[in-house]
Amino acid sequence: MADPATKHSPLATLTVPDRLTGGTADVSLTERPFLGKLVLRGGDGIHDAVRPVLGLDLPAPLRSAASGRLQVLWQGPDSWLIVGERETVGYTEEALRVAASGLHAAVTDVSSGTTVLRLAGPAARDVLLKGCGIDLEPPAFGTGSCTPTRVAAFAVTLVQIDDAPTYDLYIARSLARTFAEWLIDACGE
Amino acid sequence: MSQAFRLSEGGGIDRAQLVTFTFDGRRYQGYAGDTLASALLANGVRLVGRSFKYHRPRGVVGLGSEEPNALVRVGRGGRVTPNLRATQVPIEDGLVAESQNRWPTLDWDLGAINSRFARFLPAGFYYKTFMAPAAWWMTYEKVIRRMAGLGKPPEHEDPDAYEKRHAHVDILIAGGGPAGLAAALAAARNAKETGKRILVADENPAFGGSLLNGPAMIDGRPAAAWVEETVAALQALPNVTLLTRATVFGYYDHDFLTIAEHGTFGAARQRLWKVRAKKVILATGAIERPLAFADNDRPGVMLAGAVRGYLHRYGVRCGDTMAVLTNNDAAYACAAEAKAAGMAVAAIADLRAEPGADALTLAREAGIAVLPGHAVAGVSGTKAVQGVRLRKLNAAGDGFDGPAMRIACDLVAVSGGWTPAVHLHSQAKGKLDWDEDLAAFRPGRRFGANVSAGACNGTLDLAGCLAEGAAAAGGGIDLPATGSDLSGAPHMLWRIPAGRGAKRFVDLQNDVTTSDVALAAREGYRSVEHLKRYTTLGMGTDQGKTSNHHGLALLAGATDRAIPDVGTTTFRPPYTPVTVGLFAGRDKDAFAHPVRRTALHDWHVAQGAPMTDAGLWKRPQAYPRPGESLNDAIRREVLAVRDNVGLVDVTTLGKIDIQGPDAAELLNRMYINAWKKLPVGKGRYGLMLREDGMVWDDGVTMRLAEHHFLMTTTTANAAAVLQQMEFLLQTQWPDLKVFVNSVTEHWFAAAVSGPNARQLLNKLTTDIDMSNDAFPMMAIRQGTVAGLPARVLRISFSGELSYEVNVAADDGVALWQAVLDAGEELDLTVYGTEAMGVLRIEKGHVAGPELDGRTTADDLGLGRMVNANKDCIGKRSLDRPGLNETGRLQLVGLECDDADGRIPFGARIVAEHKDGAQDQLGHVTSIAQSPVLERSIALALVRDGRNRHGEHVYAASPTADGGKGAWARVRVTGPVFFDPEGERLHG
Repeated sequence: MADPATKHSPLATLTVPDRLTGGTADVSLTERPFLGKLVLRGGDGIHDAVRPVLGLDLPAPLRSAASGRLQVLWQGPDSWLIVGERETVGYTEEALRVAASGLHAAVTDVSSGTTVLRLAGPAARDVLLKGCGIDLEPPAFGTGSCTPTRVAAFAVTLVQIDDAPTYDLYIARSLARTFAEWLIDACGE
Repeated sequence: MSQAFRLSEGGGIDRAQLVTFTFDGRRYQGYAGDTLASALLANGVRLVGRSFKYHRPRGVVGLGSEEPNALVRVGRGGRVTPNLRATQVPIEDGLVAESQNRWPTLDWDLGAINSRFARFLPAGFYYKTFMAPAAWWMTYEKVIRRMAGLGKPPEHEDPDAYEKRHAHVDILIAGGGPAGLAAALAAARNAKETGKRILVADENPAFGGSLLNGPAMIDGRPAAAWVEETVAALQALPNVTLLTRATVFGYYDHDFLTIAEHGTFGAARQRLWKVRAKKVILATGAIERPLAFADNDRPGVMLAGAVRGYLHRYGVRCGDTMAVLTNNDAAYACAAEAKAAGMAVAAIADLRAEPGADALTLAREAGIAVLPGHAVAGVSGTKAVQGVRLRKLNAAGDGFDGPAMRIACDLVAVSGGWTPAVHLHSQAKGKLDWDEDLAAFRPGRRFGANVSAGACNGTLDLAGCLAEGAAAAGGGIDLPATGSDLSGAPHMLWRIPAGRGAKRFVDLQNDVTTSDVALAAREGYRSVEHLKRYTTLGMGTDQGKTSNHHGLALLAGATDRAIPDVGTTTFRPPYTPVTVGLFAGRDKDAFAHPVRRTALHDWHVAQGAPMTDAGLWKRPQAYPRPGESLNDAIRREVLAVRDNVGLVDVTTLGKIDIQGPDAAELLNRMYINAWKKLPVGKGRYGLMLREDGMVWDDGVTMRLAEHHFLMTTTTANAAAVLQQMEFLLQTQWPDLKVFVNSVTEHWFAAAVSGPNARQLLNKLTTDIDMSNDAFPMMAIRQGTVAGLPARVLRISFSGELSYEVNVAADDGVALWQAVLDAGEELDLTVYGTEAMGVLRIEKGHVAGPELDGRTTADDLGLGRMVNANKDCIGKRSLDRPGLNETGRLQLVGLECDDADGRIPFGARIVAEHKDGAQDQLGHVTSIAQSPVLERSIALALVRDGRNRHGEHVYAASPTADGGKGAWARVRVTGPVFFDPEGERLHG
């Protein structure tokens, strides 16, 4: 997929069938490679401390939040994933460290640890339901919803981006290739 | 080709579409909409299988999933499926079906000789006969396998695809007969505003259930029209999903249900639904019971409801002349409708002295003779019914009075009442109540969010089914008008009198007779679960759908108990057999066992490196050059590291980022050694124990900042160590201010090792001072390598000067290429896991084979690492006497005496080279062919090994060399073979 000068996505050599790349397809699959990602862990006081840096509130359980430049995904009771362009995330990392200093908190760069597969279109939900056991229909799960879950044998973080529906699936780098192949196969119907 | 038994009109089949199929090699024709059973019956085929034990000829008995006899093998090659019920297999052009359990042919079967020796094959025959000698079991088993059993499994891999689908619904309705459809209507109406999700599944190709089996009227129209209209109305609703050919086969905890759906789903023909339901309405109907009379298994003895069903669903006469045996009024409708369709009805024998008045009226109007108080005393015909003998029952029902009447007929329609299909209710752990009027168990106390409605709840009449179904979904709809039904409430006579030696089958599929049940009771099998296992009653593919109640009742009678006191066996999923492929779906092979790839995976593969498994990871073993053997490649790679410089992908080691003021305290509690005084920028080797004191994991942990550490773990334990620390922090040590995060996936790591490692890295970095003083052993530096942001760790697994360069994984390929380019003039060698293994064995570093869960730190020679001044996980266990006694296995090195010899893989250590038994002193854990020592070496765990240095012992493997066995005389040494002072490391 995308291939800036020296960086290599784990899906660099993956071929996505044409039927999943067309704009008119029932479902499309694309990679969002090379995003910057930080794990923010924090206990008491973390919400107030990082609000000025992020320009938004840390999302509640099972929710995501987005400003123009950053997206924040809830990952667990004291854990969030902060996503954006590499550069933005780079200076956010430093700013978060400063803001959270003195708190029980941790900021860790995990940019290369996952890649993001975007599954979109009217059939996207049906594809996910072939391997995902959670309720993906509103009100249980809608735009802005976010949760770590499992799709088939793969642990992913699942975020719904819009009502198309469009989903972002965060998958560990080492498993990304096999997971993408699973999704392509599941889109085959 | 004639379909001689097809009526000229009627049935839900499509007469415009002729379908050709074969059964046992013969071509037949049917119509689209036929099942294999209905098409065979239309062609007058009666004999469709041989029975399990006695190989008796058998025909179709039922109409659907209850069928015990007509099991067929369908398909060809890998697509073959055995044990399918012919009553549920839709025919399609080119379908190939075969009968089962016969040899050489169905018509002429050698196994039928079992029937002659039937009195030697009583219940528990196998248990009694094949007991001793035990060694003969292998022989018995082969014979038993051939004679008994059902279909043959497919010989080839299943080429079919299977789909899966998860669903969350508000209401799941299992069964689309009158109760299920009424429930769906009410549920849909009540969900009009809320949009609640409703899923209705029926195992048949069409909705309607029992409504399709007869000429019932609803709202003054044929019931089929009402069904069609109802289904169309439901289909139009976006919140209602209707599934046909979809069997709800399992009901698990928390209202989780599974459905096996047949159809076309992309390339797949079956789909597994995994459904979480807020409410479940069970409308699974009832199953008609046969009666236990002499020779009740002959082809042509069928359930009356099935005979009716074939007539109305498929326009098929199951025979020319029919006799009826019943114990209830409902079967009279079957007789009257058969007669109206042009069949002859010889007589209705009714076990009851006083049949219901409406039933008698119906028979009289149809001109059918009724014999109250009569039963079938015998059946003539072997491969097809030729006639029956009817006799009057005595008052007690345990014998006959008067002479037998011989009646010629080719069909016996039997009705012994109806058994509610309580399977799903029971799978959900619901209780059952005995209903004396129905002579059947019906749902009692419920468990889970379910309610049973209609026939599965013991309500047999149509009006009742509709009302119960609607009520189960909250009511609120106008119930359609129906006529009144003939009652299916039976008068049970569980065992009909028969002559000596005549077989009265209870379980047709497993060939269990009334005598077998009696024998089991006499032999003390009073528990119904024991009865099942001893006689096999209720086992097999039908799980006793038509036989269980007879079994319970006969056992109750034989042991002088009431039926509810005997109880039932446990109902377990699946309701009907399910293909294994359905559970796998697409999650097989790589999708069940995903491969983990490092950033360099494609590069390794492109070099032609053989890849090996390390957990889910794939790692390159070595990089053989053209014409080079694997062993030569390993030797070359090892020597390159010892003499020059090598490069290896070490991404797979676990990496955990630890941050917080209590980070050092956490490490102190996890590792046996101390961490608080470790300077920033330095690291140390740590050893972790399990709670029982055994060594669990090891690795180097670096201090990046005062409150920030980077821990490395073994590849195997990366996830488990993180999980254990997270668990302890959340549950045991919530007071510790520290967070742990896995960064294994974020980093790509490559080790540059060998005397020229520094020279190579100096070419790649300008901002890290690589000199020995500025960057000593066990230090970490951050900077850039090849222009990429990097962490460089000076650590060594090989014993050589070595640096591990970590860059973000997206930069891995770029780093690797830069190192290769820079290394070209130094003759850099890339090495794999095999060379890495040899290097570490030469240095005596422990790894997975030594950390086998049975070794302590002291066993491994690392006892001095245990810090006495602090506690850690597993430390208290180290005081256990067993871990401190003499004679424990201790880590040693072994050197093969013979320079050309080989220490066998996995060898046992013994004192003498001799045949026969001798004490084992220990075992080899890791072997290597050392290029430096020019001989075979090994690490081993040997009893009191540290006191044996210098001794000569033998490494023996009886299984080596393809079973010939191998010996090697070896010298016990310390585990470090090479550079024991570590001079090269610090150079």
